Amino acid sequence: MNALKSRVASPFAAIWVATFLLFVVSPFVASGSLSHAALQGMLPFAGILAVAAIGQTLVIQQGGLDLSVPGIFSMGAVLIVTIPGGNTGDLLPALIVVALVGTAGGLLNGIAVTRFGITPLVATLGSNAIFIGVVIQATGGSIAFKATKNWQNFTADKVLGIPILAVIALILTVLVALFISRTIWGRRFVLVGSSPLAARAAGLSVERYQLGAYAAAGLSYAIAGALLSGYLQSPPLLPGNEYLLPTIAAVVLGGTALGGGRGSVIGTAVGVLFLSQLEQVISALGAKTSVEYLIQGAIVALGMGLRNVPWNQILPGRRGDVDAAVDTTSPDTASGNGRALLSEHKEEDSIDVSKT
Amino acid sequence: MSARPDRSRVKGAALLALVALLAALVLSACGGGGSTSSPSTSESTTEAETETEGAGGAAAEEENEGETETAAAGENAWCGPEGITLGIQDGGGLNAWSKESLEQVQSVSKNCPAVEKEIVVDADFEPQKAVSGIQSMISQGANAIVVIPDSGNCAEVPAMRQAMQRNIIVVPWAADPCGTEGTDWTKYIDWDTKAAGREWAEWVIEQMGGKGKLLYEGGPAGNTVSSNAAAAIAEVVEENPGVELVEPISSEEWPVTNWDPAETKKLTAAILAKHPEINGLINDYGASVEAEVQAFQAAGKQIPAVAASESNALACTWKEEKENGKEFPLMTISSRNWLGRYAAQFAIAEASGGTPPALKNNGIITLGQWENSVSGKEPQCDPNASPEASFSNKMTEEETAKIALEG
Repeated sequence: MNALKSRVASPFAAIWVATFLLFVVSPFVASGSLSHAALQGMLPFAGILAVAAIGQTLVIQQGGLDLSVPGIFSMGAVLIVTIPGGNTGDLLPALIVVALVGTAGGLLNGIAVTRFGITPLVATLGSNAIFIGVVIQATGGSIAFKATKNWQNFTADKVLGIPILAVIALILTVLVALFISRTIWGRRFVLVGSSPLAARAAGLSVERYQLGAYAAAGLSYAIAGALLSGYLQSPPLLPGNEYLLPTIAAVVLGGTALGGGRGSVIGTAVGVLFLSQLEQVISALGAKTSVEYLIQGAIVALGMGLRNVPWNQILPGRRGDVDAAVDTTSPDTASGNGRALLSEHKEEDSIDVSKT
Repeated sequence: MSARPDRSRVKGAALLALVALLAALVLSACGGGGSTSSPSTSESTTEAETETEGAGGAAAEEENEGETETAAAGENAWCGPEGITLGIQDGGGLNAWSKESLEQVQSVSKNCPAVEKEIVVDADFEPQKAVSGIQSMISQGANAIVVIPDSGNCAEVPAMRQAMQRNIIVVPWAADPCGTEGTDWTKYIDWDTKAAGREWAEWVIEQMGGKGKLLYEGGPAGNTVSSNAAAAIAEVVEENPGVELVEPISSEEWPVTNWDPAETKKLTAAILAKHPEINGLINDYGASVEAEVQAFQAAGKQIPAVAASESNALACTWKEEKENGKEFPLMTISSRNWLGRYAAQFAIAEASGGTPPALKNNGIITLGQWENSVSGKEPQCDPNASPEASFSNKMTEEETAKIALEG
């Protein structure tokens, strides 16, 4: 019973409930917003956002924040189009370059943050300007090609009727979630994010894990950019500009604490689904642009605000049941995460953190 | 004890190296990002001056002046004898349309020896940058400024007024500048967006057989191009009772694409889910309409009649669909970058003492149809050109003169 209560009160549960309710309510609020056609239109974009949001989750989980999403995303989008120049045979080398450039961009962020101690906000804001400058410089202000035919066809494909972009996002999310929860590296990654001090005391190389998070994030943004290019066929010059705030919103709505520590890529993916369906409903309602922004902003603010309310203190009888789980989202108790996780490691007795 | 300072010194040096690397990258990016042609143009001007001096003076100078006079008296009557500095500004600057607009303006200025120096500034849709750009042109001694004032809602007016007060010729074009002629700017040159809206709507409704559902999608909220086009389309729809608008439009509201392909594709998919039956499309930006058409293809629907601004990608999609036996009626209006030639001619003429071109309708030009798949003006597709390329910009002087000039 306690376990069930704990699960319900988990910071990751709220987004599941909210998304479920949104999908239930959708057809009644805006007819057609849950139709087959509407889902087929929404899912590819949700998939692209989910891929980018995986990276943001990893960085935020390490107590960072990545504002270089627009720059790296746009580099991926532009490279996948300009390298092959429409020649289908050159797609594979282009994909390899996209992956390398994305990872290198992320590594640059990671080095600035971990080696030189620059605040993540400042480091990634600066690097973002550099990446955007590189995109403009390299293209001269416009993209002269369309995505290759095979990349267009791949990104528009469907698996069992589901858009492949959504399937890719699902597979990547599950793989990353399994990596974090089932491997020793993953568990240490969580520990480092929760409390770098505790992790260092346990003999872990904190910098290496943080560097890995930024590199993986760069890779995920670049891949997301490349996928968008294929789906749009002719991408705009800086498509990543639209992906910064949604990735952060999805991560926070998904239950990952902004101060670092416990996080969930699956929660983030559900957060992406919530944001995408919300946009779909508002579009289907035919709301004016101003109203659209107001509703979206209010719901995201409400979602984030509600998570910071100390429910365990307000609601009687729940205080003792949910201690550490709920506390992870509260800024004033974030420092306790490391202790909670360390004790969790102790209880599970499955990981020996001293083996580094 | 001694290892600590060493390590921190090494770390400090490495940090310095990283900062230097970043600064170099930023500088190299800035060098070509915003003002692509300014440095090269300035350099070429300087080189020309050096060569003239090196060739030994007066005779060469006389020859040069002679050329200028010939140019002024000959076919380029707009190019006067007085040397000037020309300022060129774009409120945006970061897309193929802006790039093409700059090329069109420069295709004129490079043919006029009176233009001794050019200053090019892109505002990247930032009003502050647009204002400071014009002010910097004033302080650098510009005699004429050609500007696309679309960085924000009437943001350029105060800066343009400042330039006018310094007796600088200001010619806004391609976007409504706000303000008044004579006080805030010298001459405004543009296409007639209301006429374009009417042309699109009347043609699409004719293709729809005078009945059915019509969808218009426009650019960012508040922009004057979409506002005027939407008002004109709404008027034509009212005149045709058999036609219903899928989403309500007026001069103040329309389905907003932000002229962004991703936004357009999402928006169209959402509208299609709500209204599976749509018989006609109007869109005021070529790159957007390409994404709109893709949403129809993704939903497995036949593309209905389309009226839009021209775009190579759209023409190529039309060609592909035709080859696949799914041809759809398509009519486009020119993307109008070539009007920049007349904006430049007018500004240069007024500043250098030439004869300004005699533009129709005080500079607000009705463009008419560019491509029309039904009447035989087949859409032009070049798979090797940029998806956003606009072939109307390749029109000769004679062809553009027929559309824009009196007589």
